[in-house]
This record gives sequence, structure tokens and C-alpha cells, in this order.
Amino acid sequence: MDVNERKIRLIEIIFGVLVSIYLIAPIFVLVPMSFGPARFFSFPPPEFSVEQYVKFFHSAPWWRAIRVSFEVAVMASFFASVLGILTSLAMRYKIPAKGFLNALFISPMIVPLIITAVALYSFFAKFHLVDTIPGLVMAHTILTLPFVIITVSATLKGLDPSLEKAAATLGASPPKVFFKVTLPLIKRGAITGAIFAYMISFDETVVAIFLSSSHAITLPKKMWDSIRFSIEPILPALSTILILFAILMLILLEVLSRKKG
Amino acid sequence: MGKKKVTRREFLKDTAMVTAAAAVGPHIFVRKATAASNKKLVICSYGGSYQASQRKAFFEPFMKATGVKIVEATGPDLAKIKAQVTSGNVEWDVVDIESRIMYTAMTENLLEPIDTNIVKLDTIVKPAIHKYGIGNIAFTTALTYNKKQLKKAPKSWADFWDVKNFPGPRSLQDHAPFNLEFALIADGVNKDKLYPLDIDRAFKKMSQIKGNIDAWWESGAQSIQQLTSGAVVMSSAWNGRVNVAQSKGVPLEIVWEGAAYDWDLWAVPKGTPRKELAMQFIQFALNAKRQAYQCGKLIAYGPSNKLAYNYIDKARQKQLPTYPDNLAKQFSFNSKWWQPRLNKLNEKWAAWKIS
Amino acid sequence: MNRTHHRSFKAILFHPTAKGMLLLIPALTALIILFVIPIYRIFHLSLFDPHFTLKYYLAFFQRPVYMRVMWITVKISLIVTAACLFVGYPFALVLSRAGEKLSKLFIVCIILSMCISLLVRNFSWIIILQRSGIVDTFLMKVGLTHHHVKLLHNLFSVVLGMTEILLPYMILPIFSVLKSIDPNLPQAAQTMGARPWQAFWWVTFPLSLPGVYAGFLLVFIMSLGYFITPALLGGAREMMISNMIAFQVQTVLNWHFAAGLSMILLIATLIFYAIFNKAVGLEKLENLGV
Repeated sequence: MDVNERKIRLIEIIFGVLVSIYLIAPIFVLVPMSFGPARFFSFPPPEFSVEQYVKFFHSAPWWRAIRVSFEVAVMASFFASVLGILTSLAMRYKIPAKGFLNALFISPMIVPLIITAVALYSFFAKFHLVDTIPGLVMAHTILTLPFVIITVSATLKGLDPSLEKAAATLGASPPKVFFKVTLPLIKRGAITGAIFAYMISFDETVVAIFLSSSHAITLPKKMWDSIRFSIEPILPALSTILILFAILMLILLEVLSRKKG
Repeated sequence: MGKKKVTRREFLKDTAMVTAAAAVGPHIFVRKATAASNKKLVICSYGGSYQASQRKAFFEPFMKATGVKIVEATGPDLAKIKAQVTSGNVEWDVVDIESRIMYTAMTENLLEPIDTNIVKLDTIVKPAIHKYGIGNIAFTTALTYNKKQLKKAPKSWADFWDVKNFPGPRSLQDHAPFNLEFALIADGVNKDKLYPLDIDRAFKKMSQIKGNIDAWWESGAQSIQQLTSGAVVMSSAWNGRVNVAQSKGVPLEIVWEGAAYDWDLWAVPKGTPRKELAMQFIQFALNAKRQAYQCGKLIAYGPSNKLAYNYIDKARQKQLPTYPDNLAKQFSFNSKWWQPRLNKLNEKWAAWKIS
Repeated sequence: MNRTHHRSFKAILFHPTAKGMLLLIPALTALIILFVIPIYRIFHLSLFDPHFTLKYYLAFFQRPVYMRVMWITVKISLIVTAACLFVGYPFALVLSRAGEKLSKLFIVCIILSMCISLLVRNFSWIIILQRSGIVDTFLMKVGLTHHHVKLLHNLFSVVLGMTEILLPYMILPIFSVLKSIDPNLPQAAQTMGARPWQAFWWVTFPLSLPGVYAGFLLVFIMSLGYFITPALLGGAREMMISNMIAFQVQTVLNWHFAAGLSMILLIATLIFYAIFNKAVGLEKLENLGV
């Protein structure tokens, strides 16, 4: 390596590190801040304190929002997984207008969220579903469905169809083939898809802004209100907890993909 | 999942305790509600320190007295009320709204008339009484500044527009009402001769200050937050919230001169299944002593019940919007003038903002 | 597949196409009820009040303020896409050339940033950029400026916030294409006398263009419909079309016009998406780290 090349390497590394810091800047700012006093935000925090965390842990409305988000995300990810697996399996067969159907199933991911939000808000109002957990679950199921379909389809692509055929010719019933052969084979894709769906639902803000107000307040909706209207001093602590949560999810996804290799 | 069960059990326990307390409690204010201790009432108000004061003065005592569970919501915007009423899916039983929203909601037929069999009005001041809403408190929207951020004290809206002598970013509420009045006052219009507003003149004056408005606030808490953090040096703000911040040691100051005075009202969206309970709550919240506790101890707004002033000490009365000296410096916000023009002017406002 | 000639109902059921359609029914039903119909209702709302009318679309083209919102939307989207490209391309290049450990670290940062709650990320920019915030205080302390600097609620803060969120969608497709380029090709060019930058410009860069197209369109399409960041980090002038739709629904209560705006945004999105599909291909989406 000559001097010039070494210089280039160094510049490359510095650039890469700077961009990486930019990408995860929230961690460097909010984590230290969360250990400051809860009265005002200043950086670096003037003194060490766990006041924000204490306040947060004693705040019933925030816990209620977390519970709502958790329940909605678990249910939405479950329904999206079931529907997504069935759809991915269906897409392996010869189906009329397959390209169109594929595009249709992906469309909730492409249509701008504000449109979906407004459309569902006006539609759900008719059926008393605004501000209810079922309403949110239904909305999030549709929104996360494409992600499950994409991940499961990717696993299915690598799947050898002869295995299922063999099982069928050996006399296994279709449900048996599904549960004993197909499902174990696509398990990893399905779990990854379910985790994605869970994470997306848990973090979904735009639709929640319209669909949740007083009964079924999700965590992002409550955070949105808090950031926009009042900047509650517990926000850095809550953010830190959510960052920790993101790291855990990342490790989980990493473990899953490791198993693959 | 185990955790969830525990919380649910705890919740049941709590409910049982509240029910028991209500049953044996000596003060049963509302006749029928006790039988329905598992009932709930959804109330939507403006959040922040204002709603906190309502929680202490009205919501918690009401829950204790009746066993009714009050579910709180914030941000009672007209669109939500309209969506709820027109879909027949009313989730808010009681709303706390500003008078111009009440007028608009009333003309769009979105409110229940106040049931005067339940809500007693004999001690309520005249301007607070309407067919579709009863004034709860009088509030003032006033020029407010952070003493630490300004060397000289501003005295009027003209000073708010004077960027040379009073440098620094400012904030105003993100809508046309009030701001157009303030602009006209800054432009030299007499505060008693504002209406009908000269809209073009007002927008022209607004354009002069636009570049110095750093943020447009959407909630009362936001305006206080910006003033407190020093993000802006002055802003329009609601006097009660300023008062709460002052009592916490934040160096804020109110300019009563040219401020706007208006009513917040209790109203009931049309078609709520808990209409009677909602009326009972309003009656409960209009009680003189409870209003005196809210306005005298928690947040400095003007109570609508005349008798409430008997329980508020003199020093405190001077901080209220309804105190004669304060009242003389202000103008009364004209909701009736605004109501038919509100949507059009809001749209004009949005267009003006991005131009 | 001719075994399906058996007459029984079961046999029809096991015909591959029939089986596929059966499996499709649950999700398709859900999608039609919860997505297609609601959006169709919005479409209907934009054209009927209560009789057929084009006035809501005409209003959009006649009133300068709405054209302005559209222009702001396109402008912000283009700036963000360009920012993503100018930061994302070099970063993808560094990523593809870095050693195993370093590239892993970079990738972890990318994925981690995507996992962190969107609101948390927007909130952190408020803390960083606000008056007397981290950057403002730092600049004053260092003495670069004696006055407060306005960093928040303007075009700059919106672009900074959106770029941080959308950057991975630029990096990942470019990186996946760069990674697939045979390293021998630029090397061969160099042994034939090309300087490293020439080898890059004439060999690597043209080969990486499909990734650039994919990233460009992906980021641009996502920007067009952005709502949260302009609302939280933008000022009065950063009202994008999504924010206008929300304003029409929440404040002005003009559902018909909001529906018209929604349809215009939808059509714009679909057009760019069709271009994307043509240029890149839908099936490749899964390789883009989405």
C-alpha cells in the first residue's frame, strides 16, 4: 500500500464513520439526555439523575399506550403472518392475473400512508371502528401484510417443491403436508416476516394519528401528541427504552439469519 | 402474558374499590349515577396544565362521588366532533371548547342543547350562558414574554411587531382567529373598533412579522414550552398556563394591554349515549366551590359562577382575566363574527403561511 | 398434471390453480374490504358532491397555493433524494471496499437506524437543532457565532431529518449492486493503464447505475408522501401535500378536496412507481433491504 492509497483508506473510514454516526445520532443524543433531570433538556445533562425513568415508570397513561401498542402489534403481526403465508403459498401456483395480484398485495406499502389513513378513518367511522383496538389491528394487518409476503416469498423461492410433492405422493393429507413439511421449511421466513410486521405496527404513526384518540391510544400516537403539543420531560427516557428495544430486535433478527447460514 | 393478567386483576380490584368507596361514601352528589358505577364518561379538553387543573378540581372528585370512570382525551378539534357525530359514533361525551368552535358546531347541528333541568344556571354569568354550551372559564390570549430573554419589556402588540427594539424569534398560534385582531391592534386600530375586521389590512400587517415567527403553536402547552426553553422570546399565550409556569418559577410576564378575552365552554356532542350523565357532570363542574378551587388555586382563569369569586382571595383575583382592571385593557373576542368566516379564513391563513 | 381428470370434487379442489385461488381468498378478501374499498370511497368522494363534479381537481390547478404545495413537495423530495444520493453513493462505495469487520459495523448502524422508532429519530433532531439546543450552544461556545442560529423549522431541518430516515433506502440498493460487480473488472482496467478514478468512472460507476436508479426512485417515491418529518421539523413553508391533506381533513373539514388531493398524490406516486417497476422490477424489492 503506498502513501496515497493509505490516505484514501483513511478518508474512506472517516467518511464511513461520520455517516454511521449521522444515521444513529439519536442514540448519542437521547441516551445521555435521559439520565438528566426531568425539568429541562440540556446537553450534556448537568447532573446524573434517573428522575425521568422514575416518572415514566409511574405514568399510567404511558403504560396504557404501551399496552395498546403491544396488543395491536401482536394481533396485527399474527393476522398478517397467517394471511401472508397463505398468499405466498398461493403465489406458487398458476393463477390468473398473477402480476396484478402481486402488485395489489404490495400496494399498501406503496400507497402514501396519509391516503390509507384518511381512507380508513372515513371508512371505519361508518362502522364504529375509529379509536378501537380492532380497528387498529385491521389497519395494521393490511399495512404489514406486504412485508410478510415479501419475506415469506423469498424463503419459498429457495424451497424445493419436490419435498412437498414427495410427502403428498406418500399419502400425507394436504394439512399434514403443510404443517409437517411446508411450515418447517418456511418457518424462518415467516418468523422474520412476523417480527417485521410487529415492529412496523408498533412504530406506525400516520394511520394511528387518525385512528386513535382517547380509548385506544397507541404509543406512537401518544408520542406524537407529546412532541407536538407538550414535550413531556420523560421523552428522552422513553426514547432510550425504545432504542434498547430496537437493539434487541436487531439481535433477534441477526440470530435468525445466523441460523440460516 | 402473565403480566397482563396481573394488571387486569389489579384493574378489577381498583374498580371494585372505587365502587365500594362510592357506595359507602357520604357525599352522593349525583342521584342516578351511583347505580351505574361501572359507567364511564369521556371528556375531551385542551391538555397540559389546564386539563391537569380540571382533573384535580372536577374529574377526580366526580369519579369519587359517582363511581363513574372518566376517560380523558385531548385536542377537541371540530373535525373530530363532526366525524363522530355524522358517523353516529360519538366517543366524546363532554367537550371543553372555545366559543367560536361552539358556534360552528352549533350551526352545523353537532351539539345537544343544554338540559336546564339538570344544569342550574341561576348563578352563572350572562355571557357564559348559551343554548348549546355553558361557559366554564373566561380565558385571555395575551402577549407573553420571557423576562430573561428580553432587555426591555414590551408593552403592546406594536412592540411585538417591533423587531428592532425587541429582537428575537417569536411564536403565534397557528390559525387566523386572534392573530388578525392582534395585527390590527399593532397597526393602530382601536381595540373597541376591531369588528368587522379589515382582513386585507390584517394579513398585510401579519406579513411584516412572518419572517420573525419561528414556530406556530398548536397547543397551549407548546407555547409555554417554547417560552420556557427560550426557543422564542415572546409569544401569544393563554394567561392561565402562563400563571402556572410563573408559579413554577419560570420568568414569564403577561401584557394585558390589547389581549383578547373569550370563553371556554362545556358542551355535549349530539347523539352521545351518555347524555344525561354528561349534563350531570356539567352541573357538577359549575359548582362555585369547585370552580373557585380550580381558578383560585390551580390555574388563573375566570370562573363562570358568580359565587365562585366569594372563595377566591383578593390577590388572586387580580391575576384573573375577569378582574375589572384587566378586563378594561382587553377586547372581547367576537366569535359570532368569526363563525361564518372561520373555514374560509383558515384556508386563507394556510395559503398565506406558505406564500 | 392430468391426474385431475378424476371426476370428484376433491380433484377439482386439488387442481393447482384452484388450490392457489383458494389460498388467496382470505388475504384478498381482507385487502379488498380494508384497503381497496376505503380507497375507492376516497376516489368517489373526490368526484361526487353529490353529483359528478371536477371542481375539486380544478381548484387544485386554479388556486396558486395548491400548486405551491405541490411544488414544495417535489422540491423537498428532489433535494432529499439528491442528498441521499450524494451521501449514500460514496458510503455504499466505502462499504463495498471496507474490510469485513468495518463493513459489518457500518451495516449494523444502517439496520439499527432503521429499527429505531421514527418519532424518536425526529424528536432527537428537535433536541439537536432547537434554539439553545446542542448545535446552537456549541456554535456559540466555540465562538463561530454570537447570535442564536435558526436551525429548526426550516427547509434545512426537514431535509436533514428526512435524509437520515431515507438514506438506507439509497445505500442498500447501490451497495448490493456494487457488491455484485466483479472486482476483477476495475482491476483489469487499472492493469491496462487506467488510473484508479478512471477505472471507477469508466467501469464501476456505469455498472452500478441500476442500483442508483433503484435508490433514486425509491427515495423519491417515499419522500413524495412524507408526513411526519415536515410536520415536526418543518416551518410554515415546508407544508407538503400530505400535510395539506391532513389540514383539509382535520381543520377545514373539506373531505372532498382532501380526497382530490389524495388522488393527485396517489396518481403521482403510481406513475413514479410504474417507472421504478419498469427500470428496476418489483421482484427486486426484497433485495433492497426493505
